[in-house]
Amino acid sequence: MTSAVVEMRAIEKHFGAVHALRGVDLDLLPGEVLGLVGDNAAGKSTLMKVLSGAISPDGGQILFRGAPVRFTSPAEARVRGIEMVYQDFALCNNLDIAQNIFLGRWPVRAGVLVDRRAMHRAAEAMLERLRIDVPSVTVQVRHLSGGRRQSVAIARALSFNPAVLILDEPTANLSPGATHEVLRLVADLKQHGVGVILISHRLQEVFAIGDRVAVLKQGRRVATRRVRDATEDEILELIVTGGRAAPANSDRPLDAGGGLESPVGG
Amino acid sequence: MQSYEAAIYAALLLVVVAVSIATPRFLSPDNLFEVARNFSFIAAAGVGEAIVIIGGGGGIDLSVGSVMGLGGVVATKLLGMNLGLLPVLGLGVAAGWACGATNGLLVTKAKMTPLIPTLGVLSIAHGLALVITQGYPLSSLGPASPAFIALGAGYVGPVPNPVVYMALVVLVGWAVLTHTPFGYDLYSVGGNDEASHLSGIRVTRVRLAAYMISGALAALTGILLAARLSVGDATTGQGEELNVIAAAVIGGVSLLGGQGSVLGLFAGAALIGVLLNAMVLTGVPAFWQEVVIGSTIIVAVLLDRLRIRLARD
Repeated sequence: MTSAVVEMRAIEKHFGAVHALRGVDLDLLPGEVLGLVGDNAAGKSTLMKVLSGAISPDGGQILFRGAPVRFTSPAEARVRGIEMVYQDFALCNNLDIAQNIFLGRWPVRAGVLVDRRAMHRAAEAMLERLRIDVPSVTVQVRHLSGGRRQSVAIARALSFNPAVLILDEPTANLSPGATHEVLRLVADLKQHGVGVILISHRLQEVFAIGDRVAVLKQGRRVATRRVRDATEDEILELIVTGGRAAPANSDRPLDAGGGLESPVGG
Repeated sequence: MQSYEAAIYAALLLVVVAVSIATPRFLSPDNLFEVARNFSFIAAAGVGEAIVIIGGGGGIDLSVGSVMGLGGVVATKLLGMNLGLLPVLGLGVAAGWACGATNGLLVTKAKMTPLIPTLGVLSIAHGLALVITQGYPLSSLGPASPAFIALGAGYVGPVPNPVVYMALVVLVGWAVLTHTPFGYDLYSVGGNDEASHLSGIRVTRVRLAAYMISGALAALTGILLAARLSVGDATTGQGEELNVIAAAVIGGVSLLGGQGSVLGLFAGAALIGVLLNAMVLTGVPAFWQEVVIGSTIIVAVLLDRLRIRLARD
């Protein structure tokens, strides 16, 4: 099982008195979609921020293609090919689509001038390849719908040619139509060999496009299942109870995680 | 953004037409060049101010007026010490750059709200100018005096030098903001500094550069102003920050950052210049000028808020 593109081993993270991650293991295979589910305090986003270099773990190890790596910033993770799309899109509303895709990596000609034409052409080609439909790459993203904005954010992440793409609740706040569009885009990524980690509280989505699903509960990974061998009810039960097999949960009340946020449907 | 610029130019045209009907003398070439020369200092310093505001994070530079004064005083003082024109220009600009660097470091590294350090530097720069002049105007400008005075009082053909200087600054500012990676970085940082940071843009460095540019440009503009007046005076430029910020805001530079342009700022400065001139020509007492400028700023900011609200809907 060392064909994994990323392996996280025994990851620990404290925030003051809060023990957010308690020795989490996770691996991702090339070209798979791994659903990462759990209730609000489970540590999903924290775990992914560790992987993307946004926060440093207190313990544990990350292996990238079998070799140990240590990220102190998102830029270092990016160099290895790990990209994260944040929940709030992280777009510049005052810029157009092409500028958002090439944010901070403006194509330059003659040494000092931004090559707008090349930027627009490359953005158009990229969106076409991803089958993202926009009226024009020169439209400011503030004028786009939520689904299109999410697609632009994903397109930007993909422009770095990542091996791993982390999506944090990519369909939260999206209409059903926009959700479908984004999921179609994510499912397509498999053909490009990109490994995707999909943080989601909508199990239907994970079952629609995921290959495996990992369940976090109070900072521990309590289960990993192949999607085709599991049922939504089974995963839902793991999210809520943490699974009977997990000894860590025997000493704490079941509602400690609190606020289970509509785990199915949306 | 484009439509707001068009609206500002339309407003400028409207005011020009109205003023020239009220006082035909307004349209005489002499008067027009006089108007342009008067607002050229506002527009040139305004380019730096616009760059700071567009960079976002509540960015604003209140010190530009005092830095203009300091630049002029440093230059004239050094001229009086028999230095040549070029070293004088260089050192005068360097003084402004140092003020900008102080502002920028306090904003980006010490994470102070831009109002505070730039207000402090406003006072410091004015104080330093007073220390240098001891309160007296510096008018003995040494052997380079004729060349220096020509810089501010001379003409290129029929065009006064300060107008040529403004045109160059506006043109270069426009090119930098719309065609260079720095300009693109600036708008990105102003639009969403978190997203810019995650994309590898050095937010701190971009904002620091913005304050440095503002300080250096203010000093250079102040030197030109001293040359035009052929005297170095610590009070020159006092209160000018109000006009400069007004020009930027009226020209569509949003105080929230990420919005606005050098061309819009130019129109804003021209509008202020024309209004001031119209008041002079129509015999409005000079005391009313500040009332009008202040009111214009408030109206412009209200329009800015309205524009943001409309853009959201």
